[in-house]
Amino acid sequence: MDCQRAKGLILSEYADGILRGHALEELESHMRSCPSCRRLAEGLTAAGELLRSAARADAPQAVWDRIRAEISRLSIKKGFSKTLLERLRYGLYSLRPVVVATAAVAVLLFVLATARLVSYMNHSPALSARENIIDLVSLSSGSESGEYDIGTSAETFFL
Amino acid sequence: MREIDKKTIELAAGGDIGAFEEIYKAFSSTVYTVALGVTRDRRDAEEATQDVFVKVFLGLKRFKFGSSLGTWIYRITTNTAINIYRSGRRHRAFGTADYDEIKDNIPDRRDIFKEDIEKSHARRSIDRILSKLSPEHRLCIVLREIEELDYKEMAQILGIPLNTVRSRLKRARAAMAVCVQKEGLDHGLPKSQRADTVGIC
Repeated sequence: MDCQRAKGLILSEYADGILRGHALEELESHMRSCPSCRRLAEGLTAAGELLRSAARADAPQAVWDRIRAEISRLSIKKGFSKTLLERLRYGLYSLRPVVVATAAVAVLLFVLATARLVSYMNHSPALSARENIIDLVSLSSGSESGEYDIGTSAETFFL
Repeated sequence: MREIDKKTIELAAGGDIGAFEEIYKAFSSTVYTVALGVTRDRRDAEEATQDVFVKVFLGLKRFKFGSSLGTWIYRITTNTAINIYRSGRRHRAFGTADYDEIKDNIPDRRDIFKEDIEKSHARRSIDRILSKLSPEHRLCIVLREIEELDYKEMAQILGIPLNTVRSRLKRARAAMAVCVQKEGLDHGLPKSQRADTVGIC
């Protein structure tokens, strides 16, 4: 076997693992005496094994998230989803970041509003007016000692 | 690659996301691997994967079960990956960095594990081999050596005659052998087996 034929076989049937019988024996015999053809076969075998063992990869999760958001959008646009519930679900999924942000803002606003309400309750105008009346009453019935009595002395004054 | 039953395909064609997710789970690794092999760029491979599955989703209603779903998805993948590679070539020519790749090449604590080092070397070797091939030759190598498809399936996917598949794969292997012999492999082929000559007898 000459190198031209050996090289042709190495790149096709031998690399595919389908070379059998006399042709295989002849090629192997040639490779024993021809280092260059032998290196070609070894290099191809090693590269093939390397590709089969390490080249496979999985798509990151983010790819599916993007695909899902895109097909949800397309589903609604093209009327794939029949029910209102499905449309709402797909809509919410595709708007997930917006929904999360809105919910966060809503919680923040609720906390701020609650805090303000509590503060308002503690210093409401109604309470202030009541306190002012009490102060006025006390001033009007002020004792000579300069101390204000808002208890029985006020009742005495009005009665 | 897992085959998908007809009912799941029909449900997905009707817009059922759960059924479509089954299809995605069965084929995503294949699609991403082929796209990565052709484009050699993670962002491009992710973009190709996304495009492929959106096309599959939109095209499922017209799928007639004339060929297997796998063959159909492979065909969409090869066309999409080649197109993305060609459209991105000018963009890459200006030296845009692949930050994921840079990040992966920075040694970190994980590299203390032998398996990770070997895997990292293997991936670099694969990338170096594939970088020397044209996209068409890369596609042949990926379909035959990684996906382990037979010539008939490759002919169906690539839309070319069987003999053209044979000759194209032979040229792709010859180009791959030249690269391996010139530069050797970090993993697999011992340095002592590198040849100074390029497979010329």
